[in-house]
Amino acid sequence: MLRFAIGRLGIAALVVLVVSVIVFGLTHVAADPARAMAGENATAADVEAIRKAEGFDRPLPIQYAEWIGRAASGDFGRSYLMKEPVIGIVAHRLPVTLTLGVMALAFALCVALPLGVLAAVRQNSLLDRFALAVAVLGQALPNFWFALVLIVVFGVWLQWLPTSGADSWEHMILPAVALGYYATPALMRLTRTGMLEALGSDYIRTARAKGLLPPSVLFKHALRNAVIPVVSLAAVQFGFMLGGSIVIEAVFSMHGVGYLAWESIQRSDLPVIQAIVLMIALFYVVLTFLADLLNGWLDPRLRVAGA
Amino acid sequence: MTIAPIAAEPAAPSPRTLMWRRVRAHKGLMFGIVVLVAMLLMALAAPLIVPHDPYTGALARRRIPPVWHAWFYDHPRAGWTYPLGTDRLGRDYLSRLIYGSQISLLIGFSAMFVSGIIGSTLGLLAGYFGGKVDMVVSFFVTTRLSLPVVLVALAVVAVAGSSLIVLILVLGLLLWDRFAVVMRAATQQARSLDYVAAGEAIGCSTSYLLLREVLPNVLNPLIVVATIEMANAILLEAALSFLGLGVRPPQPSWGLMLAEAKEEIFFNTWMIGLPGIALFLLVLGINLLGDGVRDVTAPENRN
Repeated sequence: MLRFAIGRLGIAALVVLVVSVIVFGLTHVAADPARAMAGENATAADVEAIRKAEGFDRPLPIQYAEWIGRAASGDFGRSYLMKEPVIGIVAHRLPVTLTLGVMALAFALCVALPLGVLAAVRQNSLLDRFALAVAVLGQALPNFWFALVLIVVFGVWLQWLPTSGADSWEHMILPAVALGYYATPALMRLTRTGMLEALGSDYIRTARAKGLLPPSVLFKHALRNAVIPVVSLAAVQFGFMLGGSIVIEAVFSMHGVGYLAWESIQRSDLPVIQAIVLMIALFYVVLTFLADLLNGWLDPRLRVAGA
Repeated sequence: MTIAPIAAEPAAPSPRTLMWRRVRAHKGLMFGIVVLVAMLLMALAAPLIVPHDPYTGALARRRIPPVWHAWFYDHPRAGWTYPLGTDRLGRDYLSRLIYGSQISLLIGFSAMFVSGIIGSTLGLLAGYFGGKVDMVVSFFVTTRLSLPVVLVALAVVAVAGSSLIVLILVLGLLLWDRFAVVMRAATQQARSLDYVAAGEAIGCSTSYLLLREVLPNVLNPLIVVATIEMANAILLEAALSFLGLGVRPPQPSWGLMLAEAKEEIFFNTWMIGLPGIALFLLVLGINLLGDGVRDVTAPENRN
């Protein structure tokens, strides 16, 4: 188990390193940091002066080494526009995005798990078909359009819920649904397959033969086994949600990390973009690492096959 | 001694007929084919079928609601001249929606093509050679997955400028991971087949084996993934355009139309409805097509 964990950790670290190179390259080769820092109205001489002063004229590997060294200790430099340390700006916006992500995941699981279990228990029933239809239709809904539809229905017509900002938990409901529904089809299908597999297995037959109550068989024995892959998929989906929340935050004007990223991209505030992309990648890598560990711990076969 | 005449067996239907029967019996697949073909025809024939020019508006005919507002709400301006209404600049909504299908389909097909070439090459190599090659490819896939797609695409488009070419390349370079994963698994399976081993034994070159023996056998999963990624590319283009960093105005991208309609959300809800429904239908059609191909070509995998 330890060897497995160390191997996975090594890969995870390497992934983060490569992502950091990509992020740095994107902002220093594709874009011109000196020009971005100087702003739109700067003269060529101003840009050159900034290039000298900030050391943007030095070889890229040296600049990268300096940047990654500071980033490792949490120093991503200062925002070009807000003139404050990037890490503080991002940390200030992070709670909104994390709350949104957690609520979206909770919504997705609350829909996906019961529907998946019921669909498996009553295979090929009307409910199973309904669940499948929900999955197929849900997969084809563009999330920003779904968000707009939610605003129209619940904000404008029914006037039940607020439609912009992130001041209270009520503000979070519509965005969480808009962000979370996209993960439901995959989670539901996986729950259903897992449950079908578990329900057809020998230990369930034994449990039934012993005369255990159906709910006990279903929840204590079958679901417990079926839910393992669902947990790791949920972790991965959570990572995707943090990256995808940019669209939802933009629609609902929630000032989270995604909104910050959107603003920073439009104003080429490079240090902020670097920090956010790297942070989201880091989140994703940590989440998949934990999911791998969980799987390896629960299913010893994976330790051999995956290592 | 006479030989009893052998009773003529009824001709068994050819595999092709059988396949066609299965295709026609699959409702989702038929729906997908119909939607995709209809959209393709609409996109190709756009200049011939649009009732108005999609780019010219007029102040006098701004925000005319669709024709059903005349039926149900007695709206005086709604009528058949602009069946789906006009936007806030007075441009015909139907014509813009029709032209929008060109953008979605062009980006969908091209991005799918780019990502398909990258991903399936990596997947083929990883599945066929295994070992170190496999490890390197898995590493690429993991790295790619850890990059947030929307964010990176937005950042690149902001830097490189938003032209169709840039959008296609960015999406193509970001959406190849599923191709690689699926092709790797399919190739591993095909590689263990006897005739590949036989090909190796008689000294066929690796490229011949890969392209002529393995590739045709992994074509079905490839098509399924291609539909998924085409749908993804279309949704992403719409999202990027919606965020103002995709297709440039005055082009009638559906995502851009939604961005423009967002300001009308309190007054003209239909402006938000129509482009969204168009997007939803197209993506649904493509997804159902993919699901259908999977079901029809591998009935044992039906689940």
